[in-house]
Amino acid sequence: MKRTLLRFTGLMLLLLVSYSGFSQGHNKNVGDQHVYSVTPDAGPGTNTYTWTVTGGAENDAWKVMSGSLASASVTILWLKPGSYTVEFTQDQLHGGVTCSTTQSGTVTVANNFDATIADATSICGGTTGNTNFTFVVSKTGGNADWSFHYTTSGLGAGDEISGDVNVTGTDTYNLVIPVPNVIDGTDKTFNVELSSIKDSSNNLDTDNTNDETAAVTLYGVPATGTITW
Amino acid sequence: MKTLRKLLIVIVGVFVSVQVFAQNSGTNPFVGSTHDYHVDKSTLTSDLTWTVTGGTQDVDYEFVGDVNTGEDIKIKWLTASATPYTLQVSEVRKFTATEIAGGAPASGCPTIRQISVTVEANTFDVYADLVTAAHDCAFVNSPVVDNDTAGDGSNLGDNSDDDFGTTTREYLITAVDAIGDWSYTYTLTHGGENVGDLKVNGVVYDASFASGKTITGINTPTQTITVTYKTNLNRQDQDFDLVFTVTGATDSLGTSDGDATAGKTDDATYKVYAVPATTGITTD
Repeated sequence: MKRTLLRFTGLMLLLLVSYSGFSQGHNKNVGDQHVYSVTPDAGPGTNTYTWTVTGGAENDAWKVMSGSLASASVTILWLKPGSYTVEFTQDQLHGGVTCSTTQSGTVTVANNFDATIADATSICGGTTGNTNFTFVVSKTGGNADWSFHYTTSGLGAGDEISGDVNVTGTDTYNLVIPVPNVIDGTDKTFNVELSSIKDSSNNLDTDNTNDETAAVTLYGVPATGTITW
Repeated sequence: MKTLRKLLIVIVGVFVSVQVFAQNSGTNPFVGSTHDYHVDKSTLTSDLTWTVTGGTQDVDYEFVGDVNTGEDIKIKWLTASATPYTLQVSEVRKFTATEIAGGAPASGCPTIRQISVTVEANTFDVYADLVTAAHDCAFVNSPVVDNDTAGDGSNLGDNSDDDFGTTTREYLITAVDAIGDWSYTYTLTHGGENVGDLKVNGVVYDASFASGKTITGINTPTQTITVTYKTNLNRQDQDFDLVFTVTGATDSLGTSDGDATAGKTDDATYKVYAVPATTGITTD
């Protein structure tokens, strides 16, 4: 009994040393992954490990990326903002008795997802087909997969261009807007605005001040006739 | 079989038409010819600039009047090209200061138009041919009437007032591959012989035409020149060469005479043999 008590006390000390920082809790952002691990006691008997996350549902608010909830180490991807508690319990069955030790900490997850669309350069048009404008849309924070809706403004009724874009696993997307050329040299000035910007966990864009481009112009080319002689 | 023959005729006809069309045109000009080129400018505020690539300005071609801007230009083609030249016109927008400040492209959004121009050897040729025998006697009335101009018989028996007739020689002037009206300058020489009342197409040809007389606006492929003079007007002509010489021939495109026709020359010569200026018959 004395020996068992000594071992248990040792296990507790080990866990306290390993996670003294996390027990104070920490802050994360959506899209962050973090490794949570312990060094379990290697004493006699059968050891069982259990990680518990409270504050949101698995695969909705958070997700196991590697390891498992039944191991000494697990990597958690935080999907949604909120306040969570991460708890680890080691059950040690020996001598017909299960002795358990639990450690926990709090995680505050914030939403820092922000998408930005950059201005494009005014360019010359062509005589046939379309002239493509490329607007670079990029995001910081949030989850790896994200989406947005875009629409032009200024091309005129019936000529505006819009669409939905799903971006997978990259922070940058080249949004190409094909503007039909006009051969009489007419200029077309327009801009592009993003809306419904969200990541795959429906975290919304946190800054709406950078979701609209400055005006850009498609300069029409002269409708020069053919050479005659 | 009959259908096949018709088809062949049509094909040959089309080929000939194309050949004719291609001669000394804006895209197939003769060396030395000048051609007009035109584009319709857009309604934008812009500049038009013409360039030729594949050759050297003032060596292979020249912009007439050094003008290579605007909707209409003239180019004189100077050198035949083994590979085609490219004639290009670029219309460039003139952006306002506000537009430039707003990001208007520095290029001016040019529209380029091009045609390929193959300059060909000059086959435009104007040459002179004789119409009748090169060597022949002058014309003489036969018999010659012994005139009595004074009316008192004093002129009978001499040739002082007798009319020996009018000698005529014709030249055929031919233009090959002329575009539009053509023109030339001619000179007529007679070996220093005192030829009387010399006329060309009924117009007196005298010393005032020593440097040549120019005929313009000819719109037929050939032109007949008729030279006349009064036989023995000086009472006894000598044998002489009557030489008609073409110089400075051009067509409506300014193409100069290429002298390209084998066996043809710019001059044609009649050897005119004098007829005796025999007096009237006298008797006792």
